[in-house]
Amino acid sequence: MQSLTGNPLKTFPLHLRDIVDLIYFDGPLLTLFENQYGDYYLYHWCDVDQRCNRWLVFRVTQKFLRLYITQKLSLRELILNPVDGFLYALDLDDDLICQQVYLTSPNQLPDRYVPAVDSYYDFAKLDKTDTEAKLLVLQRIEEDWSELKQWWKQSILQAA
Amino acid sequence: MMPFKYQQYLATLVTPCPPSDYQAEERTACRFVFDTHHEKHPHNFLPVLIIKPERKNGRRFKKDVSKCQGYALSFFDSFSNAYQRYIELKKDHPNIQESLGTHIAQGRLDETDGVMSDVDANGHFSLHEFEHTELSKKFKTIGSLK
Repeated sequence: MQSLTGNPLKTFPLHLRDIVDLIYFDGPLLTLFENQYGDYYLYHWCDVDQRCNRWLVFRVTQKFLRLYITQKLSLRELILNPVDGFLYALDLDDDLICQQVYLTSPNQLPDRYVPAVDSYYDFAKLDKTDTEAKLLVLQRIEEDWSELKQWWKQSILQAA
Repeated sequence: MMPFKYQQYLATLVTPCPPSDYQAEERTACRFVFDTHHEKHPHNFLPVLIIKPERKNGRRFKKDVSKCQGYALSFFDSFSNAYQRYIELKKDHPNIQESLGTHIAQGRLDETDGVMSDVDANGHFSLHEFEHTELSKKFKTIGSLK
């Protein structure tokens, strides 16, 4: 496991529910979560040792999620520009118990945790057996489209 | 047909497992593995749900069709297709060797090893092993992941 600079926290402060794996190969590598208010978070796998897997956890807006899924933004751009300005580095054991958590920032991340410049999404990165996942992802970003359309319509009416 | 290696788990599933379209045949196969000195080397030919049975309870393996897949092994039909998948995964996860494996191993599967899915567009397929299959004896490392 790479050494990490950041502020250690006593506990992971978020209560998140997993929605769908966005990248999967013999295990989840990028998973979409949400909190009780409907805010989205991504869990990005970045490291492992004998005891734990390490995940970078950071909030994404629906808009940024859509831009990522539609290949307008790369995973690298999401990680280097988190909405909140920081990321959690979460060490989870096999029972998904948090063993260590850091608050860290993009410029503190080891190079090996930062995706490549061309880390754009592709639905081929989903597990091929997970036929419902693609629909679920599309549904999530479609909801956002509806909200955006509504907002645009209201903006136009108000301007008129 | 011979019994499967993880028959005791497959038998508990409601969906037919392995799926009915899986067939026993001869095929060249490549797989991500850890080298002999790596702590994960003993897991080289173990399915996900045998390595980590507790994952059965998670969202990913909620449905029996997914659990069935969790008792299969992932392969590619060529070194180049396996390496291509590695390159794609590495773009998103530069540290992926730590999870995926340090090398690619190649072997020749035959009708006595188990039943296999069709090869998909990316050269990937899955194998459900028969009871006495010993894949570690049939596969040799042919390239490292850098």
